[in-house]
Amino acid sequence: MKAKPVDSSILPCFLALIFLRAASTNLLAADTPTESDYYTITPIETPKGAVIETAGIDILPDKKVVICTRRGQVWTVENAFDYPAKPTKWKIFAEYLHEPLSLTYNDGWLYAVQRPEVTRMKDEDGDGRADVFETVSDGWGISGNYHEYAFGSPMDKDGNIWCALCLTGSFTSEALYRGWIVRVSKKGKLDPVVSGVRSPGGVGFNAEGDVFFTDNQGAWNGSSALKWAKPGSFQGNPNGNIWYKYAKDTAGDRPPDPPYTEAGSRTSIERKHIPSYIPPAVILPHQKVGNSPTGIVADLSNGKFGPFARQVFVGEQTQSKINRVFLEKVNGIYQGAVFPFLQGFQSGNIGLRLTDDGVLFTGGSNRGWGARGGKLFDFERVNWTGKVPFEIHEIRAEKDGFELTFTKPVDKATALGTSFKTSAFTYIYQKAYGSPEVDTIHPKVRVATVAEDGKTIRLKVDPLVQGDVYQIQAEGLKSAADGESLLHDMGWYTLNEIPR
Amino acid sequence: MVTYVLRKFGGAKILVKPTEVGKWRKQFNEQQMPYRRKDLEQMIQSLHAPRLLSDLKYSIYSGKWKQLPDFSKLDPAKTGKLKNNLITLEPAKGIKKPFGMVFEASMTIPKTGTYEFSLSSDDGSALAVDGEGVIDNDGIHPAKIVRAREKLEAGNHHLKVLYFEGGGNRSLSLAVQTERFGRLTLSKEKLNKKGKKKTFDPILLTPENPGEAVVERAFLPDSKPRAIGVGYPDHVNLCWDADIMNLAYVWRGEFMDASPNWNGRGSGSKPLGQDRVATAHGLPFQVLESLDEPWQPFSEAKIKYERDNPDPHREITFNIHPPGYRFLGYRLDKKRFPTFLYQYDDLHVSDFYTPRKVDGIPSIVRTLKARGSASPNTYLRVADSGPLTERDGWYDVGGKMKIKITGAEPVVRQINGHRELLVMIPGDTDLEITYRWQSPLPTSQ
Repeated sequence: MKAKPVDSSILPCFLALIFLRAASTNLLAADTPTESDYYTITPIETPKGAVIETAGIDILPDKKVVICTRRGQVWTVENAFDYPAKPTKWKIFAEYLHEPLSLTYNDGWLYAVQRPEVTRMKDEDGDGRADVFETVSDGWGISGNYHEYAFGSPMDKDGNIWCALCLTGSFTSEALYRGWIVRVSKKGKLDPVVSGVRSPGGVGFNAEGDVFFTDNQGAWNGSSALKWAKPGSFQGNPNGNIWYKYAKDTAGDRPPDPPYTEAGSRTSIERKHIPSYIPPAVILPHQKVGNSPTGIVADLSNGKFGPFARQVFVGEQTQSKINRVFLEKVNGIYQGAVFPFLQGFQSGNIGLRLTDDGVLFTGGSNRGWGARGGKLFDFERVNWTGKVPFEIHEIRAEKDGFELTFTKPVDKATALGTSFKTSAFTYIYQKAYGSPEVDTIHPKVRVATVAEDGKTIRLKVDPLVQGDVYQIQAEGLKSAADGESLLHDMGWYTLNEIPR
Repeated sequence: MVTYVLRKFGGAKILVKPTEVGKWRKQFNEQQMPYRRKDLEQMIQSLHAPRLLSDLKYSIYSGKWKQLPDFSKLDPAKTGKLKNNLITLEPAKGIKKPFGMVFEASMTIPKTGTYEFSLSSDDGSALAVDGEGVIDNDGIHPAKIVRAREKLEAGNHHLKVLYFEGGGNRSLSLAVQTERFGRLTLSKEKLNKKGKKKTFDPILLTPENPGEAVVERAFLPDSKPRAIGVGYPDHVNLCWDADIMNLAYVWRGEFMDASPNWNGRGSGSKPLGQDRVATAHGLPFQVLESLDEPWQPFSEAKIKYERDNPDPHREITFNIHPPGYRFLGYRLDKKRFPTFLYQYDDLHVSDFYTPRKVDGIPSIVRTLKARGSASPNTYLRVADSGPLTERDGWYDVGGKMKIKITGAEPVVRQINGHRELLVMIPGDTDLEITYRWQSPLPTSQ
């Protein structure tokens, strides 16, 4: 907001008021940064009459963006990077696949993961439309239930696509490998590798190339989470465990069941009874962070998309936004923190793709599930403005607290224990649908050290409870340069392991 | 979300059961806007709703009736208890012949008042409370709701439901309107208030350019889940089943309405048109040691299933890939007509369809090519319905359709009470099979 020009005809008291107001407005401008100062969202025009419920997104070698939609169409889009400077050109490449939700281009073929199979497509006669549809693998079951979605990762460096298969109705497993992640090779070999999945919304990689998936809140899943798809692991929901009889070679023995009692248990307790149970890496606290996480993409742009290089972005359908995740490994287990990143998309974000040049494409739909954005579908682009926001960069676990790093130096005078509001809680691990936050505590927080450059603060937090989500709100911190508040002052760290 | 509301406003002790969520999902399937307060209140209230019935027992009777018999004069074929106290026809699931059922339970009325019961059934049913008839919904008819009001004192009452199934569709549902908890369903099946499914504005699928085919992979009726619908020019269409690797059925007229598939969470597309004919919708090939060997059904495996309970309590059947078969996908030609490709043991098979006018009537001509080696006595089954009488090379398959085969000598056999049209496959084979309707499509199409 700009300062108002001072009008000499106005009475002195008004002048004083206006001056004061202008001054305080300037303070306010410095005090309340908005996301759009740092990241712009550009909704991209779609063809008139077409319903573009964006699900899978990839970039072709000629810089066309290719997307697949829930209705089964595959579209190529020219000038998606330059719009609106250039109008976009849309062309149908293929239709109608069976609700394809992921796309990946490799070596002349476009691979799609649709409900019944992994398909690869090619335009052999050069007319711009696919004419070859090869079934790479249809080695999983579908029973005809609408909830049996299949999401796929992009192709990994070994030529595999990791497919997460939603449970029947999201509750039971009434077809082969529902509730599993299967690894499909380019040659069509299908290996069931991870069990315990409930209702995935996307599969992708972190910067290290490890496989992660999002899993929605529901039975055996107290809150939605970003989970590590470690091959041979069990992820929490036992309904798909009947398929171990066909998966011994690739997934090992069937794990023991978690308790089916009314009271339920805790992940941290059951980890001891179920050795292959990998706890959710980063819990996305229900309602606070999101209700329905979707696509996953790592920032491999080396700084072209802002200060979050090598971190992971996660789509959020219900709240029409994108969250940001920092991951680390402690005692061999992935864990980390989630932060809000960018909101205000027009529909429910499903697909996410971030190029190495630092351009992010996203899109989605609200059909059947509802989304804050309100529009039936969208296809949008996010660019970094070049300005670095003042944000909590990372939260790392320490043996007696947490280490927070920041994108810009913190005003040391504000780096006090009282600047932090912290609570810790967990969820019930139970057969019932979801869980409230339980076992809430308010640990003591002290600032142990502040780095010389002001970009790192070590907090002593007591007690540290293994398995808890630590909600850390750094509301009192201000940046050293402008005295601005954090753009997002809250982060949630999932403390699966405490460093020794 | 309900868990969050409960936690926030107390009542966190109540666990939200997955079955409740499933119920709400169906109800709010079309929800686009945020939930309103009264939606949440309704959901939370239903969590507190009491189970009115207890000690629910059933008896099943064998017999063919046109209206409810006097069950007291008959001996039941089977009796049992329904543990979750919801009236259901599930105990008679395996019974194919007409039957009757009697349900008896203790009904606890929470508060003295007038209660409206709604009883829906196909075929006939009746409701009695404390020995007195309350609802008469007798006779052979499709699902029909009959309502009646009854003054009841608070406390226990005896509830009895009589039912019979004369053949065809079967359904039974009972609900009671209560003041405090709204409508309570006393049966597993929900009462369909309006009596019909939600309809949407049709979304007709058409090809990108005239003269081309349009292909839609979607859940289609009367096919296994991996269904592929193809709409050709000249109003002929087909459904190809990629679970079974064979043609499921053909039809003519308008191709497809995708609106049920593309609204809400989607439930599959709807073929339009008319004159649907299914021929040999089963595995295409089989080695027959003799012509008395029946055609194998699509292999389904049974597995014991556990849900919300570590002890196995029911079996499910699921499809596994038929041994020896592998679906390879399809190729589209210049007109976007698909050639379906699959492997059967050492045979590579291509299955292609095109519309063609035969004697002035648009028909479908199928070109099936097999390349490779086949075990001796490998047969392709082309039809399994109709009298299969032959005239001028045309075989009557019923449903106003005749089939002609060129490229191999057809064999007709009688098996298990019906006739089948087979062709022996010696190895490399080129077959042309023409599917021709008997009369032109009415022009008022």
